[in-house]
Amino acid sequence: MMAWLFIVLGLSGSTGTSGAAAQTPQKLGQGVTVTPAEGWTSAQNVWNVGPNALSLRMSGVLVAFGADAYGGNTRQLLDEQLSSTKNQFGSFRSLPAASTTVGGGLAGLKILFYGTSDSSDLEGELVVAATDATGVVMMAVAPAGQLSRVQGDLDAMLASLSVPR
Amino acid sequence: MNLTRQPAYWLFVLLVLAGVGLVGVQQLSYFLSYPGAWFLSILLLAAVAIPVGVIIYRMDQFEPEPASLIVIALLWGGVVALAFAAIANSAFLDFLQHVLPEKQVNAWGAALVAPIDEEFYKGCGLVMIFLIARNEIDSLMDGMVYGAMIGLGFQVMENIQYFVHAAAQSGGAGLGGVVGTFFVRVLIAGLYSHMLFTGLAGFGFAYFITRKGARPWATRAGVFALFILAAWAAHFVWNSPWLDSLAQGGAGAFILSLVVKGLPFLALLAIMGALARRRESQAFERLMAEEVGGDVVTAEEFQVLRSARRRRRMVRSFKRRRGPAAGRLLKRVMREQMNLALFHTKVEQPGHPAVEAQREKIRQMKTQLAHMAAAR
Repeated sequence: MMAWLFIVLGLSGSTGTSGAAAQTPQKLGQGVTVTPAEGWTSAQNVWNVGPNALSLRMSGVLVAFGADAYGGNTRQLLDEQLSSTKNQFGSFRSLPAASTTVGGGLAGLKILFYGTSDSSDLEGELVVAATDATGVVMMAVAPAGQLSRVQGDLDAMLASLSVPR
Repeated sequence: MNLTRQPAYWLFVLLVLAGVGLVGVQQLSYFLSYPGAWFLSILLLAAVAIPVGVIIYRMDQFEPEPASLIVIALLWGGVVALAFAAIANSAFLDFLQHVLPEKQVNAWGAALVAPIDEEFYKGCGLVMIFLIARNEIDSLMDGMVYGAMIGLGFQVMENIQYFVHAAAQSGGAGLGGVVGTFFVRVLIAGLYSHMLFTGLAGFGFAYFITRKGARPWATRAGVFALFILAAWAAHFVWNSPWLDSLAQGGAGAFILSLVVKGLPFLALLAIMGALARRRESQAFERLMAEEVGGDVVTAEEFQVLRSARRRRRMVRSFKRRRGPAAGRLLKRVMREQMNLALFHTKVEQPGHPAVEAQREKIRQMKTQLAHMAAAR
């Protein structure tokens, strides 16, 4: 039992970690920072999200955090992000948006979605918040059924967002 | 049976305590974050898992397994296997993500990782039960029962995770996510899950250990490997993206896709279950041959003992005519009569004092039963 655990942990460790040191705040745009949770590594090689954003991965889950100048409100930001996300899926359905808060008590909106892309069943979580001409976005995508396993990490990283106001 | 004398039992206790550290903290966080969803999950799952557990327990009608070992099986599945598999799954997926294209991991990750890790850790539970109480796995049915119980424990705890996360994803307050996930994962797809997978593995394991001396090692190992492979394949097919496009074509197509994916393996387990039951029945007849026709077990009583349905009918009828106490006593008499078969498996001489003592015990109970019947 322990042997198999050590084998898979060894395999996982042998692939190495790159970028995004855990527990170290990483800069996004507009002075916003996010602190990756333990175990998450850079996913820039599979998901290039540009200079004002950061992509991470762990255990089959990909997540991107981004911050940029934005003049609209949170609802508008959600609609825009949702619209562009839909276009990347063959079939797409989402749950109604729910209120949430990100780092420092900033009010945001959260939406869960499910979709099919290239024959893969995926689920994801989109969280947005807009304040003082800055828009912050988090998008996580995972194979169906896998997102819940990292929900605690996602919540922790959202709470770690530091947005200058 | 004193389990605490076995070193394996203490290893089990240690592993449960370690597992509780992980699973317990997780459950506590669910309870603190979403108490309504957590309670509803427990209620819904208990409403299904308890009767299902009783059905599995009763499958072994001639020699019900000790409650202590059933609890060990459930704890192994729900705590130890779940905790180890959670860590291994994450690490394995992490590895795959680095060596396979993203799309392949998304589509096949769960199908590759979960069957290997989860079937391995649940299967270790069968070995642990065998090490704790070697004499208790003495038939194919025993292996199926313990395997299915380990699977049931795993399934219940895993479902709590799914239910609470469904509630969290729908905003936390709404309990619709819990009910919806319960409907799909338990009511529609509940049969094609861990009870089925580990039940198959349990059959193979029991074949390997109970056929020692009767079949060559290679045959036993081959059958064992075949059923481990069947358990793995059932899990793999279930988690694979095959027929997912069909699943999106409406409720009927969705159910059809589940049936196509799960029914062949469920049918295999049902056939194996019927086979195991027939063997148990034959063994019971053989072991009881010496007893039938005497004053301890009459020929008519034996006909009733052979069938669980006839036994239940007889107890119900007796209770109606002679009262609840007489009904309970009759049930105990039947259990002790059936236990005679167990005595014959443990001792070789027909006149062994233990067998004689058991016969005497039954005679006394039957006398008491006759007095109760006469008193009404």
